Amino acid sequence: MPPPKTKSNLLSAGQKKLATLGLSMPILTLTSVGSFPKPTEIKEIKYRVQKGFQKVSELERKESMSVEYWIREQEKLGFDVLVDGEINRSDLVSFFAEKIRGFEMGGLVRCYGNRYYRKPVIKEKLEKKGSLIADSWRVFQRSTHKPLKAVLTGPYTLLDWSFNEFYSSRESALNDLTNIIRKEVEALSHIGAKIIQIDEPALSSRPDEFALIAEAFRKITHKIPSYFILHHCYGDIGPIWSKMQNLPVDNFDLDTTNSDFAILKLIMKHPTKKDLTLGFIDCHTHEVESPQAVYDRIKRVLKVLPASQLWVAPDCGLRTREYTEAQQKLVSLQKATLKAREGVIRRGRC
Amino acid sequence: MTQILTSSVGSYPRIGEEKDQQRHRRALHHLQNKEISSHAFHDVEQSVIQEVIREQILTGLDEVTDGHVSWHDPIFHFCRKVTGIKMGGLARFFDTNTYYRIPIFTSKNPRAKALHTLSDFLFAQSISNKPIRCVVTGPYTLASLSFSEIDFFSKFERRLAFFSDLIQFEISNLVSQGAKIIQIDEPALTRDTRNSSLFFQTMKRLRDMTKPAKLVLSLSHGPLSTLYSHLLETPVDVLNLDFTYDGKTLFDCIIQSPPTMVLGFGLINARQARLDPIDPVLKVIHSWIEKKNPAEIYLTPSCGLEHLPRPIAFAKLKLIEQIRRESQIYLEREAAHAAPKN
Repeated sequence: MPPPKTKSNLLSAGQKKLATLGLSMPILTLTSVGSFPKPTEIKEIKYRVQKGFQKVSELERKESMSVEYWIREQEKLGFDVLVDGEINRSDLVSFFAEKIRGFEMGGLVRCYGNRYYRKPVIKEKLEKKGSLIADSWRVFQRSTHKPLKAVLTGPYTLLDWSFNEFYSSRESALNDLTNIIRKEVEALSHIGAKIIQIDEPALSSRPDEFALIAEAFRKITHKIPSYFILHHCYGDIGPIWSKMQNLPVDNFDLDTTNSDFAILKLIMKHPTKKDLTLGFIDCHTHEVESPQAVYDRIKRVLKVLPASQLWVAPDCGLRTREYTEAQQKLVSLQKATLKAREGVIRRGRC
Repeated sequence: MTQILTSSVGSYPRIGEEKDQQRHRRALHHLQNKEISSHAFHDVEQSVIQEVIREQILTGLDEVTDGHVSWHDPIFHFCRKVTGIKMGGLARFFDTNTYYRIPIFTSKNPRAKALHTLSDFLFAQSISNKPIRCVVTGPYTLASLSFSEIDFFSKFERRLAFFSDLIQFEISNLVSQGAKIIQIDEPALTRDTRNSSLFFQTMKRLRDMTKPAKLVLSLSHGPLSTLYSHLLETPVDVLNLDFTYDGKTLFDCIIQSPPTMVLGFGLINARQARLDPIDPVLKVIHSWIEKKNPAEIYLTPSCGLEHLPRPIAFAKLKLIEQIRRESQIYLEREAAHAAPKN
């Protein structure tokens, strides 16, 4: 039986926009942020491809199988908006840098704990070479009837997480990256992507540059009919929260559990009209939260945010977890969401 | 003639491009999956400390660090062995793309169960023929970037007092075990000076603990020119400054009000992969020497090198040595010109 839909008089601005796109989401829309763990086999094949011992086609075949697997898993669990799991991305920056002319792949640098990425170097003027994600999104969307989020890294993070050796100013580099992302968003919209998520973990790094980011988002989303989600994680958005309300996006996707629900203080101080995708699963602990623990977290948020505005997700991508951990965390999330949804529909609250 | 000393100022990339240089990453992964023991991991960690010290020595530096190989991050590293402080969520470390775990006070009486830096120092000292610069994160930064669940520690002053005691304890043990150079990192001071008077009081207490070792205050990750005049009274032997944010204005401030302590010029950009052009660095050093004729100066990276890939970090340290050599040639030539002819 399909989950009950939100009553139209309770629809948030974002839900109304989704309705115009022909998408009707249940209350407490259940989704994921982006990445899922990759099978070890893929990591091994990738290594062999890099060394020239194996064909790229074999890697692509295995990656497609893994995407297919995660899509089926999300469908089985009744997720409302799916992701492809970013199986073909090693991290959120170098995947895009490889597809943009002007970047050169750099060496490994550490982000935190045991996570490293290849920090790209901007060597020449940045120009789009071909499809970034549109081609693969089209293929994967065909494999499911559920809406598949198109997830791409935003221009500000692409700049901030790279070394710039070409542009004389950050503005000019950001401008070219914005144009590239804009073209990709146009392509995605053209082929039917109704929900587009732009990841900007660097959003809060330099509050004094917020105007540049706002302008970039204005250009990227201008006259594109899609429902836009902005994902940010692990940074202090307090200083920019009120300005964020004017960004031309429909939904802020924010880490919540890992930051001990700091977002709630912001919402209470400056309520938002945007939809919020909040994280009820900590992606940086091996501990699998029980459905009850996740349910309690949802309940805590619903005390300050109308259910019509809330989407339910993990804090961030789950790529850092082991396979079974990620699966179990998704199960807890699903069970807690169904219970909370039932409470909201029956009693008007959790 | 001015002596130009060179040093690392903190972290060094713990993995490199070669497979063997990635053993730390593999070992940590195995440790997290409980596939190896903590002893086995410790062995790998020490081998990496040895490797990063060797690389620094190879470049010719006068002072080296342990590379912070065992640090999760500069903040939570100093709370790992404290009861009454729990590990909070991830947060971004200033304007970098690295993260730290937020320390959260949960008890009114937190206690350090053990030291956080001594064992790495003792190991580093045992394998290095160059002096080890022992780096600790300063109490001001630790207090600024920590939170509290309880009312008592919700006041900045109380967190600062706690971390001040903690860091004093670290430093006094390091010094008693033979540390000759102690560096206190206070990046938070470049971003938030609201409690700067408390910072200076804290530094006075730390100064006493550090004797007879050399005390270095390292300021990075933010502009320094507006803060500079307040630093002149700081009781330290060396003031190591990051010149990559507002270097030109900062240098004007320094020329206008020269400090009494030795200056450390963090002129080599540890946040940018491109090798720094030599001439602007030489220009700053030579102007300072010509104007003030100091007995010694330090030339260093702007901050820890972990923001760079390993081969570039190594190249930057080699560049520092190249600049020192060129400066020395220049200074000897100038001295020869200035010497009276018989």
